Order: sequence, then C-alpha cells, then structure tokens
Amino acid sequence: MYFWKCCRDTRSRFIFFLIVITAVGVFFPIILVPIDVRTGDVVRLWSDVTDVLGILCSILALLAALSMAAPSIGQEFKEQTLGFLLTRPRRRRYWIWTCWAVGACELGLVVLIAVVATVGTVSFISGRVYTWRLLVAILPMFIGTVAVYSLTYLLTVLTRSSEQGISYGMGILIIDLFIPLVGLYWHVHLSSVMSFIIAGCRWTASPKLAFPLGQLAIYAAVALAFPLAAQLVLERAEA
Amino acid sequence: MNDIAIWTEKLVKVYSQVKAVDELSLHVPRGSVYGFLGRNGAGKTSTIKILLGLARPTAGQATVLGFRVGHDQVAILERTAYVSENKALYGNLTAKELVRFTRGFYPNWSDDAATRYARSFEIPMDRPFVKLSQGTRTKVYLLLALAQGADLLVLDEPTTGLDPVAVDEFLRILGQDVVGEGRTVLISSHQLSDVEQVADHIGLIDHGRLLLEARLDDIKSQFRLVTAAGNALAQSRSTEVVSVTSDGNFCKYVVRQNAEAFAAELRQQGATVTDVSPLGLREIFLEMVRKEEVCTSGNAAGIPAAVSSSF
Repeated sequence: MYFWKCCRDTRSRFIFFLIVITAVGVFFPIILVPIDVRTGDVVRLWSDVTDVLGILCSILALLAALSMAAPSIGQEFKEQTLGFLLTRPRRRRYWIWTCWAVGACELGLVVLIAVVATVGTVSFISGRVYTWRLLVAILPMFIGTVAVYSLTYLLTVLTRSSEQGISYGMGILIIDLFIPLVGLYWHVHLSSVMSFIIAGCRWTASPKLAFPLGQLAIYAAVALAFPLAAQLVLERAEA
Repeated sequence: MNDIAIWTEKLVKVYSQVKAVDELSLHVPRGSVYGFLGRNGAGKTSTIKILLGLARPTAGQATVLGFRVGHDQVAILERTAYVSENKALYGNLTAKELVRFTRGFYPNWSDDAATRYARSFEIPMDRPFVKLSQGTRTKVYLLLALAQGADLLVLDEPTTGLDPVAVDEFLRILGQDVVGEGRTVLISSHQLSDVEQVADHIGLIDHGRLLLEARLDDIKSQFRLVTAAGNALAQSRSTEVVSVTSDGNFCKYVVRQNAEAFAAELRQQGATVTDVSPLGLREIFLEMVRKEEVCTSGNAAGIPAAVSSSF
C-alpha cells in the first residue's frame, strides 16, 4: 500500500519528466539525423546521437532525480504524518526502501524511455537499426541518476524537509560538475557524475573506448549506501 | 503479567535536560478503559510515544500486550490502534483512500466496521482529507483506529474538535464495540466528563510523575470534600489531606481517604464539620494537580501513592 501511495505522490513529476525527456529524445534526432544521413557521416551520426543522450537527456534525468527524491518521504515530514506512518506495523526500513524503490523504478523508466525514444527515432529516420551497445548506455545513466536521487533522498531525511533536501542535493551536484574543471587545472583526471554518464554514452559510439565499469560499480555502491544511511537515520529518529 | 496490557517500570524520558517522564510506573489491566490524565506537558504524550516506539526511553522499561517496547515493536503495532494528538493524515488522500491504505497493514481489519463507522460519524468518504473540518478529520482518524480490530486502543485526545453528538456516538461505539469485546483502551484526554463516562481505571500524572493510579470507583468512593468551620483550621497537615481552601471561618479540605476519621479529628480540635461530600473526577483532578496556593497544604504531588489497587 505504501508503494501505491508513493507512486501517487511522485506521479505528476514522473509524468512531466517522461513527457519532456521523450520530447527531447525525439525532437533532437529529427533535427540532427537528416543532416548526418545526407553527408553519409556515420561516425558523426553516432556521435550526435550519443551527445543527445549523454548531455540533454542526462541533464533532464538528473533534474528528475533531484525532483523525485524528495516528495514522498519529504511529505511525511511536511504534513507531520511520520507519527502515523511509523505506528503502522512495519519495520522502519520498509518505509525507507519502499519509498526509495518507487523513485528508483520511475527514474529507470525515465532513462529507458529517453534511450528508446532517441534510438528509436534515429533508427526510424536513418533506416539503420542500432546495435545493443546503445542500449547499454542506459546503465551508466541509470546508475548515475539513481546516485544523485539517493543523495537527495538522504538529505531530505536528514534535514526533514523536501525543499532543503533538493537545495542541498542541487548544491552538491553543481559542485560535482565543477570537480573535473578543477582537476584540469591541476592536470589531474577527475570524474563527475555527469562526465560518468557522458562517458557511458560515448562508449556506445566508440567501441575502442573502455566501458567505465569501475565507476559504474562505485556509483552503484554509492546509490545503495545513501538509502542505507537514510534507513539508519530513520531507525534512530523520534517522531 | 498476562492480565496487564501496559506495564512500565521507572520509565524516564529526558528532552534536552527537561524530564518529560520521571520514573513512571504504570499498570494498565487488560480489558480496562484506562483514563490517562494530566495537565498540558505532564508527560502523557511522551509516555504514549515511548509505548508506541515513536520515542526512546532515557531509562526504565515497558511492555505492551506482553511485548517489550523497543524490541518487539512490530508485534505491538500489529495489535495496537493509535489516535495521535495532532490527527495528521495525508492531505491529498480521501477518507476512502486512507481506509484502503490502512487496511492492508492489519489482518483483523473489518471493512464492515469501517463502513458502519463512516455512516455513524457521517464522514464524506470521497473528499480529500485536507478539505475536511477539524472534527471530521478526527472522525476519520477514529474510524481508522476502530476498524483495525486491535487488542489495544491508545487514544490521545480522541475527541478534539468533535461536536457533542459525535462525542456521544464515539463513546457509544467505544463502550459497545471495544470495551464490550474485552479490548483494552488507554485514553488520554482533557475532557474529564468523557473519561469519567467510559473509564474504569485512572492514572494521573504531573511533571512526568504518577500521582494516582486506581479504579475510578475506588477513587470516587474515597476522595471526600470536608467542610468545617472554626479557627486556625487551615494549618492542618494530615497526610490524607490533598488540599485546603480557606474562606473566612470556613475551610474546605479535600481528603484522599478516611474522611470520617479526619472529620472526627477536626471536631476534636473544636471545629464544626458542616459537610462531608463526595467529589467528581474533575474536582479530584483539579485538587491533585493544582499548583500550591496560599491556603493549600499537603500537596499531593509529594505523595505518589495509589488510593487502591486491583493489581
């Protein structure tokens, strides 16, 4: 039942991002692909497709992650319903993980739709059906956005406020985006969640590149560590 | 222990150096309606929160329906219905959706009872919770608690915002469907007349400490108001005297027990005892928790004793 309730809480944002990301996934290839097909530049075509996926869709997916992390669990604090919720006969971890799983599933769908819309449109217009490699781009994008989602989720539980959770999450994400630039100054290669997602997408266009498996594992661990921390916080919380 | 629904021993809860609950030892018998009384900030809600796992005790221990608080919390919550003080529920859900949300958690949930209570309380089931009046929100909360079929009902200010008709209906349901089936009720309320109507046991706390715990009938049969006329009577400091109020030559004594013996003592001192009368729960409550006044002696707060006990 809580799964159903969380779906209700996030459905408007979920549908909004689903529509926007589908529109982006369809609209940009419509502009880009005919140009590349005319020139016969296949490499360029792949590059443009992965750019659409990597940059535009991942920005939207990250915004979706920030936006969808807070409403469900944040509402419990905002409406002071935590006392009601915690007196239902379930362990506290059940509330945390159910609520988190709803958002993670919705994010997964948003990412899947982004990739399918983009790949489908490109395939339809260009007449070339792209290989499974493009679909693998889902994985880094999904794990990266879920990591940001989990961070915002934890911050919402810690601050007991949706607004503060989103604000702090966005702040940390912006700092994270600037980390590679700071690294460039010191001639050190540093990665951000955005560069990780883009690297994942680029891998589909350039088979010689290495798949960012190590980073994938780290972000997956981070994505699970944050809700675990939220669970520990809630288990010790007093309502 | 099987005949005790709620048991606490030297329960302590400290919030940033303030003792909300101070070595509280409660005994709520199974099948009883226990009126849990006290002033604002006396520690009632803190105690209830500890029992339901919403707050951790600083010290002491407690069991609810034989399960240890803090260890077997899910087992406690499966058998306990709770009406909280703030009556907060999800604003965007209708009463019907709240019923659908809640029933999945309770194996003993009764849809028939929920429908019956919705009709009795005249709840608009299709209107979002946020658009309901304060009284109707309370009714929705009561419906969700009553239909659970719980062994124990913990009701914190259950009649907030209810009109007299709704209060009457609620008390009727409580007596008929809950007490009639041998379930236990812990009711914390400032509406002493409501409590007096349904409760058979009373626990009175102040500043987190238990002042009185006994059967309501025993309390009412033993507390007496003794009115006497004479000089210098207000100085009387018998341990049985809860409070003394002076008005000219007249003194009014609230005596916790042995009123006749106390009246005889006054007569021996030359006083004229004009009346020895019983007290209602409201008067007893006021005398027990009222702050000391000029002509008040033998403050009951210093005597955390039971009038009588069935345990």
